[in-house]
Amino acid sequence: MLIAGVYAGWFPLPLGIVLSISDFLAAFMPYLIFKLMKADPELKTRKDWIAYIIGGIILSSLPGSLYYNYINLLIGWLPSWEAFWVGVAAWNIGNYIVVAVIATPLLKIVTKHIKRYGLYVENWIF
Amino acid sequence: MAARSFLFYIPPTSPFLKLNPLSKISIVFAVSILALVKLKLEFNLIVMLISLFLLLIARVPLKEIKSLLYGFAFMVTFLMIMYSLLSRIPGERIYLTLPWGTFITENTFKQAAAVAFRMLSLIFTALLFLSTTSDKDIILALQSLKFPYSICFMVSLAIRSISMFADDWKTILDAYWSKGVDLNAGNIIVRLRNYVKVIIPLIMLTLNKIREIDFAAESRGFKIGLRGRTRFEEIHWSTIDYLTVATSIISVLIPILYFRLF
Repeated sequence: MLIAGVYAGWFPLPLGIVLSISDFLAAFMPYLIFKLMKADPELKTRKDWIAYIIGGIILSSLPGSLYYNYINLLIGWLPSWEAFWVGVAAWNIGNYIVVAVIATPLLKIVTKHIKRYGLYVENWIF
Repeated sequence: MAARSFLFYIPPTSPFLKLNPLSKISIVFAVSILALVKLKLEFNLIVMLISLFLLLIARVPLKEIKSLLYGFAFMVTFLMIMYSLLSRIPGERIYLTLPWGTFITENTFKQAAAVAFRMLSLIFTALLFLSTTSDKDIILALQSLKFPYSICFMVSLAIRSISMFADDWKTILDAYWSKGVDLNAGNIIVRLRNYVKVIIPLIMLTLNKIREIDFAAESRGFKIGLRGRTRFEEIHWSTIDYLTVATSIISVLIPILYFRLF
């Protein structure tokens, strides 16, 4: 995302480095929740779905959105705390829709193929 | 012959091609720090004009960045709307108070314009760096800054994968269109769902490429943590590079000291 953002001219490199933490959080939070709840990303059981809704949808977006919008508030891109909360709300609603529509079928369909790959190592981290 | 940079081909007469990547990074950081040091319309306008001037003397083909100008126009419009609706910039006269407590003063649009100039100068310098530096030089710069080789290798793969990824994306879209599938039909949810059909083959293609790279690296005996690795190319420092770095440092220090003192 950092490289893509700079490549497309959305934001400069120094700012991109700071903001890339929110993208890291977006990937790290679902990983952490799935790991803590011992859930399977193939979404086979009810527990997997709960982990996905908490970690994959809600928490993947919330910490990153708070951090990203706070940085934007500091640099003046957002003019006030009202704008900050509007930014956080818009970010989360947008992400919930995209993640629900795109990530759900991806997890259901692609996970089992990825697990068959030679590069996949079960429980590699933690 | 035109020189290939990370983004486009630029004329060989560009003075920025004579600089080494580290001195170019010093310009990026100097302008970025300058843009962030103070939020004041006149100051931010000057910084933006300096970054635009650097872009022009670097002979970056402006027609190539025409599409980005639409993005800039959208950004400025968005900023103006946001400042009009959600700001509390103090001023001598309040023109309009909104029901949710924010207001518009004579300084509201001045500050919005200052932020727009700040963002533009940051974007122009990033563009300047990427338009005058090749991906190979970016890696060379990281290695010279003593970043661990694993990080340099990862960044190098990521940079080189962008065009590969974009090509695969286009190939899959073309394949769908040649079969008469309109992925842009329907409302936004339907369109998003349509793109799952593109993302799935894209992920599978990417995984295949990762496996190929992994096998290629392994078959050549490549090891990330290997000590004593030597480099074929080195960064050379000339007088103009030292001058660029010195100018970058001085141009950051002077405004910082000025704003501190006055």
